[in-house]
Amino acid sequence: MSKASPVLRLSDFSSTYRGADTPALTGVDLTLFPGEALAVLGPQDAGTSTLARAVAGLLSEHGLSTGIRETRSEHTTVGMLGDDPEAQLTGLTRTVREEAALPGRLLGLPLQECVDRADTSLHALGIDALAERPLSTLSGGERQLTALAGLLTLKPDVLVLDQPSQALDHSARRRLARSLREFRAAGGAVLLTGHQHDDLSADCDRVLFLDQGRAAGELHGLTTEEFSAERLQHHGVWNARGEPGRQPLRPAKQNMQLLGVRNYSVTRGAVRVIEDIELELHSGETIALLGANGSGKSTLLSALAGLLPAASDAELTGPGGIDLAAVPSHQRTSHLSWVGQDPGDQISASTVRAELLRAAPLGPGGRKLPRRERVAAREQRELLVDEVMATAGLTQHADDHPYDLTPAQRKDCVIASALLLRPAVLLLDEPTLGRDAAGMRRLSELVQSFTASGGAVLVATHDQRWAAEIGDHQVHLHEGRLQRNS
Amino acid sequence: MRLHPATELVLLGCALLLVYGVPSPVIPAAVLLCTVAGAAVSPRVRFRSWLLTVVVLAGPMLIMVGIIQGLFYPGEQAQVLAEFGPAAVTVEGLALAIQLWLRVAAMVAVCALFAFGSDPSRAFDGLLALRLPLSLAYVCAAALSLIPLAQHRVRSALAARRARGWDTSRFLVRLRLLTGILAGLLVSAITQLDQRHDALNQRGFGQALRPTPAQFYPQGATQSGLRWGAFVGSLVLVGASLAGVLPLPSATDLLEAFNV
Repeated sequence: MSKASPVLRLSDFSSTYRGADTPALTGVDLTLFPGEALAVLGPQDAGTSTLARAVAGLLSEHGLSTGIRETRSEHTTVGMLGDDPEAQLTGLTRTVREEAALPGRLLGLPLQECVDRADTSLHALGIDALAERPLSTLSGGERQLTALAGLLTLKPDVLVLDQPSQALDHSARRRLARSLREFRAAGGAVLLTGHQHDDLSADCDRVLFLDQGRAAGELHGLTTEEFSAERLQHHGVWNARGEPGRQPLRPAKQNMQLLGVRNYSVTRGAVRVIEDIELELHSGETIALLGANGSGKSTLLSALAGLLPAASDAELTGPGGIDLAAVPSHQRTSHLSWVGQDPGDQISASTVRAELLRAAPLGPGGRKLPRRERVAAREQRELLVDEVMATAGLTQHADDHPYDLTPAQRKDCVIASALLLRPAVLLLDEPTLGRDAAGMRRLSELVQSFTASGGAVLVATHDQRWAAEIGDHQVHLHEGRLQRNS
Repeated sequence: MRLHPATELVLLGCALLLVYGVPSPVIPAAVLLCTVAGAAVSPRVRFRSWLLTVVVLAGPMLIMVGIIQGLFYPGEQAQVLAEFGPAAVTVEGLALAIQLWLRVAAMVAVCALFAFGSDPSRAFDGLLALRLPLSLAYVCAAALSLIPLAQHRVRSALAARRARGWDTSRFLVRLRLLTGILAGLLVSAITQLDQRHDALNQRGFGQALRPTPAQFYPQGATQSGLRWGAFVGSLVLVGASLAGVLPLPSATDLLEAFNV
């Protein structure tokens, strides 16, 4: 690998978004050589996504940038994959293969060449089996990989990936890492950005840490030692590859069963996604639900919440043995409260406080209460909102717009709305996505305080370290069936 | 054999031109009947979904024009069939209501047939083949994918609210939640706009004026002849109708023929 001629260079690069008071990036220097991979890590709001866009040359329309951004030649191409899986797809195609072939078509290449390039990219990323799948049926991780496959067909000189692994399972990450190695071996350069150190950043040659838009340190020729927990913690980065920390002491189990699941099967379309699940969850207990993308974790949680129909012989019992299987979803909420993957589905108000005040109905099912009861219920709700905001660490953001929060805080806002219902069991779907070290700590504290007060948590996650730290048990979902680990 | 998407678009345009260009209920009725037959036999269109769309979009219009034009036609020379206090059923009002509703129903039916039977990729290729500018073709084609996307997002938002205790099976509850859900959809769409724009640019959008079509479509004299034939034929029919040489009955003629 020749270090003489960088493929891309930023020098003393600063950028301020239009309407912002403070710069998102200040005086950043960065050089990328052919065949090299650089990870840019930092906490939320450190400017990692902005730096990704700067490298991709996408900042000019959004504000004022100063400093130098230069590429090896005017023909140097940079491809960037953003962090929102939903927004990475073009809306012009129906299937995975069509989406992956689209970039070639937009360049006017012959159709057969576009399809061949698409198939090669899909194969390289290990998702060739998805080629004919409609895009609407893909999980977040599968969408990201599909979008990346499309970018790879263009054979860019530099590939910029913003939090590429956040929705990927362990195996998909390994496949992506292998694919990026092949890309680099062919002379491509890779820039990864994110808030977590994982298999992909571990595969990089260098790591640049960012803090409040400024470079805060750089590591070369990485070793496990250099990636020490303390160092990552110091830079506010969550170490997803780290050894599980010691679990805090928990109060003795009360052994009261809060959730009992028997013969639980779920069919979607003609496919049996969940098969004969048996599960028990007791007071004070957390179970981590692990499994590959598409293994049925989200389906299981949604079905338990009553948002998807389960098989007619499925048994579901709540606290005190109450039969929940026949209870409609909106009436299960005081027993089981579900938090989905996408906070955008829940959030609609203009402030965090307003969101929480409105999140759950005051009257049963949303019926209007008589005036006097309504006033009393509102007063009670306001007190409760203050309480759950404090629990979720959102008190200082009460008057902020939810979309001005970091993605992790938005998720915390949705978790807080679930706490309003005072459920016995929390069902959390991928709450760790894109969290930095502080966000992970906040989440752990939230889960632990909930279980300490007698609740129980069933949480689906790809983060094996966090699962080991937070879970009393880990269960693996494989092709719709449960396998208990510990 | 399936038509070239450009031919489908031309046929759609011609159908709309005829429906609104010829002042006779025969044309929209004929288009409506052809569309029903097309939706029934098409392997790509789910007849039930298509029918539901037509009923939901054109049904309220039937009630509105029935009440406004059928009962409250303002003309003083109108031939009254029956009177109910201030309201009166008149031949002219009924004729206008029939004509209006058939036009709207035919338009909705034929557009829904196109939307259900096509996909953004086909529409994009068809619009480009008709020489539309790239950006306009993208906006029109992407709009086709917006409908299922919006449906999906609304379903997810309703599920999320059900999980907070809202009984979304009740119409009044859904109505109360509607503003919030739509506001949420709008905000999330706006926040995704930047990334979508970037995603398109990153994939080379605009680098070639004529991107490669997504598949090999039927080409040749048949497709071209069908397009030009439909276009010229529609213009001739509308022109003849405007010149008064097209012997098609008006709605009033039809009502009189049925002794109304």
